[in-house]
Amino acid sequence: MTVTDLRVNAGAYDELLLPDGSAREHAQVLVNTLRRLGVDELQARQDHADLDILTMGITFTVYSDGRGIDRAWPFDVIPRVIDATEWRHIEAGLTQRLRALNMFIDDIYNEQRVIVDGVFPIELLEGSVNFRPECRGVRPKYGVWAHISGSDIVRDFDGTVYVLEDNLRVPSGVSYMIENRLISKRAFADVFEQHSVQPVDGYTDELFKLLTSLSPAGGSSASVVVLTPGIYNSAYFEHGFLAQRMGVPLVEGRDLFVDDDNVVYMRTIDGPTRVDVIYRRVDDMFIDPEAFRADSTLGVAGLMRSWRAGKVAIANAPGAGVADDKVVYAWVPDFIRYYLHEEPILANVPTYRCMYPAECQYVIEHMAELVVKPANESGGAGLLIGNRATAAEILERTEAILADPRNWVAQPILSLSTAPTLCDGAILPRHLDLRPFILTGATSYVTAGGLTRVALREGSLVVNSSQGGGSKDTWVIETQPGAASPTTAGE
Amino acid sequence: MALLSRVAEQLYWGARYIERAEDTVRVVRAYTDVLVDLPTSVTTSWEPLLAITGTRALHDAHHDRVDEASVIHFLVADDANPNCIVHAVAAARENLRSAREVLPRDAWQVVNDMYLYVAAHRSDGVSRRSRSRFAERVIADSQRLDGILSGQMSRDHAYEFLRLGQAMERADMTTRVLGVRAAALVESGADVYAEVQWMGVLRSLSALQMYQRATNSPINGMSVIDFLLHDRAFPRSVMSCLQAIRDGLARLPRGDQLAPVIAEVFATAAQVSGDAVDGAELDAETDLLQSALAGLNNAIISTYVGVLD
Repeated sequence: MTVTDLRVNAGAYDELLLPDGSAREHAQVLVNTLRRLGVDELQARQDHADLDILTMGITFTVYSDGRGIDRAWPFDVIPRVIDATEWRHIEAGLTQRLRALNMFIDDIYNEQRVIVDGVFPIELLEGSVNFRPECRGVRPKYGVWAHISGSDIVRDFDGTVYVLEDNLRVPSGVSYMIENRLISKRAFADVFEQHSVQPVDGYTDELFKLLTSLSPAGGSSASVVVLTPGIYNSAYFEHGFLAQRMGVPLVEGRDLFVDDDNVVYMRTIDGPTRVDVIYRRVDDMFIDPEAFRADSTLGVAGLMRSWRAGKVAIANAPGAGVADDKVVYAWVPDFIRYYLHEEPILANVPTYRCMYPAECQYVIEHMAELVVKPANESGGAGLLIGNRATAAEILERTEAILADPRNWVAQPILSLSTAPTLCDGAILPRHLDLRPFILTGATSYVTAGGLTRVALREGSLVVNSSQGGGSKDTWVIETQPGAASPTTAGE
Repeated sequence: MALLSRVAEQLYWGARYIERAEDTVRVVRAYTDVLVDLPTSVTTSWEPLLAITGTRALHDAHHDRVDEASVIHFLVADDANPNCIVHAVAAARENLRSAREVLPRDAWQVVNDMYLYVAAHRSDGVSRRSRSRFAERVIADSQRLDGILSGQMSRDHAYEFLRLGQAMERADMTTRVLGVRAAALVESGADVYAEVQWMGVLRSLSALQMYQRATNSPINGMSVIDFLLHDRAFPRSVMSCLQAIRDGLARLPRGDQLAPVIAEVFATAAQVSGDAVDGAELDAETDLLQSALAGLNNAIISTYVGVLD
């Protein structure tokens, strides 16, 4: 079977194809290859890739009947391709965004200039579930709180790239980005030879350098650990992967303790050994039963004491999530202007905040064209998609908004871009997003591309792997000869 | 780099479980071969396999009869038996999964691959027709892991704990085979099929060829026992394993604290001899050796893992 008719969905932007089905310039070599190989050969390569994933033990964990079950990582063999020129723009936008977000977090736990100057309303802080009063007055190194973030970015039908969410707490997916490349190089060795695809392998090295640089003791070496909630966590594979790649211990809460000297130690066969930097993959409400949830068995009693005393660095810093919230999101462009005196490089999805009467009025009048979201819930709970809602649902939501306007925000309905995806022996357009990973410390680093997540069901916009989503390798391709540049943007 | 106590324990048990799977499969294969070789006039029993693996009581709690079908299924794939081959490999995988960051990547892949294989082919391990193919695969995977560790892993503390677990399990299995099979053979005296059976004992520990090379004489029960216990050159003899344990502990911090315990195991092993006049005596002596090994196991765990609070 040959691939002559690569389809594009009307009304969606395709990452590889123009509306007439011909290849975009940067995707030409790949699209020609897909056509040349045909569906049967692609399916054979897909089967090989699936087998590699199984034997390499690349898994994620889902919960079923109270048990964690390991599932093979879902991977689509057809890569998603991004032009390097566009990528440089996105990269600059992400770096800028994270600088501003970190300045906001540092400010909010210290002077609160942003509130004093009337840029950010104090009521929002008071209503924030991610604000941690325990973090007031702490000054982490470089003024950075969100060291590792994984922003979700999407492209609307007109080609505009938007940042949908800044995941500043414990974003996951970077290990799959690296593994996807390994699998994809095996599947498409012939295509890699014809392209200058930017490597993604350097991430763990950059992460290790960043973590080492956070050590309170200073110096060029530090005792770094990765703190995991344990094997039942959905991202356990990634925690082990990162520890292995960096050559540092993967610890659980029970492996650590804080002594009377406020120093964090790990229990080793040599006896207690000092820990300088903790890359924690445990949510901050669970990291210290002494400071936060007393019933947590995942954390380390006294960890906040140690951190506040400057004896240990924690990445991401506790409390960093204050800037990762659907309401605060609406202020990010204002933060960029306020702290950096720059215009935002990347677009924020226009967000109507119901706490303001004029914006609330707009939301109520235009609900059929909007997505209405509760401000403080995650995972899509309580989401209302206007053009799919019944009149009764809209009425019900209107009453809910009027009853508690501060708890609601609304955004226009975006149409996610698509890319050709192998689905049961056919190549079909499927919606996708992108999660690049940004490291922020003394300098910034952005992965070349990121993790592309794809909704495998027709018409679906849900890309989560726990809900039937898949993934693709993401190629940032240099199309202008000689324009290749390193992906590290120094500050 | 400092090795976490929890990870040390997981490496130790991970290696023990892999070795247990390999050793069990060797014993099952060798025993099957012996029974096939014996003429039908000789009464045969599958009970010794349960005795060697110390699972007789557990087996009887779930099965009414002790025959080939029930015993082999029980040792290979019975969910009621936590030491069956499928469960041992699964337990090794679970332990090594949480110690993955200290292992060479290929090592984890072999363990994962081995698990996928035994889980999908459990019925092959039971059926007599495919049993030896299943056994070969389990042994090959275990040896593949051994090779990767030998060739790719630094001789750090993590490595020492893997090797400690392996040597402890080997010493344990050799002792069990001696206590059950050898003791029974000594007891039954000069049977016309004794030679075949002693060969089976050696084969179950993959020791036949090395025994023949070392002794250069016809198979003799007393010398088989002596070889399996005391030969310093054969890696599965009790003494070789103890030597490996002693050397490994000497390279670990505070290993000297365990010196008296290991010395006691050596002394106990030295007392067991091929000159034992009857099977009951050999059985009793290997029991003592088993307890000494269990004591050493506990001492290793309490020294390096302790009690987590």
